[in-house]
Amino acid sequence: MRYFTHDPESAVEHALAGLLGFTGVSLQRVGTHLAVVYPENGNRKVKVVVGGGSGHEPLFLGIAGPGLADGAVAGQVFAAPSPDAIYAVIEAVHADEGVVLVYGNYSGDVLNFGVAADDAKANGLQVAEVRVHDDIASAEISRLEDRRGIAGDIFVIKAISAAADLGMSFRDVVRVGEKTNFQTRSLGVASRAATAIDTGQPMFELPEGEIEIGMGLHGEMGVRRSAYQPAEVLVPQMMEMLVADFEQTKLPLARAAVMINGLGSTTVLELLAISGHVRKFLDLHSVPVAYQAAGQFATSLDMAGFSITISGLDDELEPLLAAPCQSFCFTRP
Amino acid sequence: MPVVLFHQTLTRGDEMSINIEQTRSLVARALEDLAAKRDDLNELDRGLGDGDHGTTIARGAKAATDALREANLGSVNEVFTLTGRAMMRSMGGASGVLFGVFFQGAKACAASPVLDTRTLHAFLKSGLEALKQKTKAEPGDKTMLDAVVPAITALEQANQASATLGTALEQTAAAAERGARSTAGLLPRFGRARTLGERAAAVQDPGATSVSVFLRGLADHLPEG
Repeated sequence: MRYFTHDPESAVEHALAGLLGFTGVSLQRVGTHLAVVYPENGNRKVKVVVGGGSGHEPLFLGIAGPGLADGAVAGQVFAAPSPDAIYAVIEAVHADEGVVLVYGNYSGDVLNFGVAADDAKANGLQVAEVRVHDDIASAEISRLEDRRGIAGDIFVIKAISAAADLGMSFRDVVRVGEKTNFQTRSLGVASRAATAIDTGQPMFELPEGEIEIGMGLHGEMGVRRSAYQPAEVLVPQMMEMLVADFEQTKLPLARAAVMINGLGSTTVLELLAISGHVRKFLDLHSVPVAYQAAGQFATSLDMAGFSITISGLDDELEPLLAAPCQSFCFTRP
Repeated sequence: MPVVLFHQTLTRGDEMSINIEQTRSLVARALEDLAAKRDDLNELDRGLGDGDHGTTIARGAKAATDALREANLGSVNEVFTLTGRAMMRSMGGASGVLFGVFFQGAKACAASPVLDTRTLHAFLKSGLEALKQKTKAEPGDKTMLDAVVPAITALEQANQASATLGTALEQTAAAAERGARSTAGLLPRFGRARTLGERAAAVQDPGATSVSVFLRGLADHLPEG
């Protein structure tokens, strides 16, 4: 497979130029960094800065906007941004009370955001970190905080941003973020590896005709490989695993927000069909769905596959997830 | 394309130390060697990561040589701390922070006008302590520590034997290379590679390899007297 972009570094730079020309939301670039701010979320005392590697478009730069992140920073393809770039965004969002950093729980992101947070604290800024850990395939429930973050990033960013829009205090915004993080669980499946931009070669081995349940956004090992199965067989199995995971933490799924996320080259036709199977499962199990989205939100270049994300809602989270927002990545009217 | 940046005459023989300018030149050349290994390191990383370690470390090495070229240096410590800072700023990814803090270990050591076996040992040891603040990895976990730890041991032994700087650097590079080679066959226990398990066992760790390439560069560019 050959991409229309051939060099990863210039691809990322050009994609940022494309995003800055996106007419939906007016973003500003931060210096020469791969970073943007949306300065118009006026009511917030607490600002939300998100980030992670490139290759997951429309995340991460694409989720800055009204009702969503105030700042977003990207690294190179599948690599965390540097502390300098993150720090530049922390400064650029000009928070009155504090900045909450939201990112997926990967060692590179933890290290780089951690250094930036330490630098900011040393300079008298109030900073907290919310490490999204929604991928149930990446570690046992007993090691919840070791799990990696996948498409659940979006619900966590959405809820935390809506909390900031309500003018909540720093402590409360962080609390909402941690709560959404805890109550958001995802599971992915892949049928074909992503292709490296520079070599045009698959980034890992996944034999033709096999699928891997739980494969991560960068090809990380999942829970099991099996022969191909169609969505109507696969989706109920994945939903059983998600529901069981909620039950293990004594978190009944009273109401749910659902996101079906394509990993890059899974068609909209497939995503809609998968969405239908997910809804059928939840209806059968009498779980009311407050919100359901299907599309490409957190991709892995051109990986073929999808993830299902479920947020367990309560009276606090439901209106936060329902509040209007707009961005290249995710919009609610 | 390799560019000769600095034209210092270095003499090996019974030299026990080199001065700040010589250290600047030596470190810059070792960084150029590291950048030149870009494609090989990418190839290794394809076996257990996303194939970009060479590109990332080459970006860091280039930023560091640029920073070294322009800097006013008051101690040999600054050669290493500037290198670390430039790497951390420019690289991104886990390796940016890890190589960054490792090289910046020199910041915590007494400022020295010369680089000898003892100062280099102190820098690397302090760098190792800084790494331990950032990762729980131990030797044998298939990380850069598998090259760093044997290199420090070799330097310590060379120091106790009152070896010349040339001999010490040679022994250090050899120990780091052995350490890097020993990662082939190990299961990765940290970072994204961890989740690949057996799939990533056969490959030599790119981070440990980068450490060994840099230390080999230090040994190679201290010319024979």
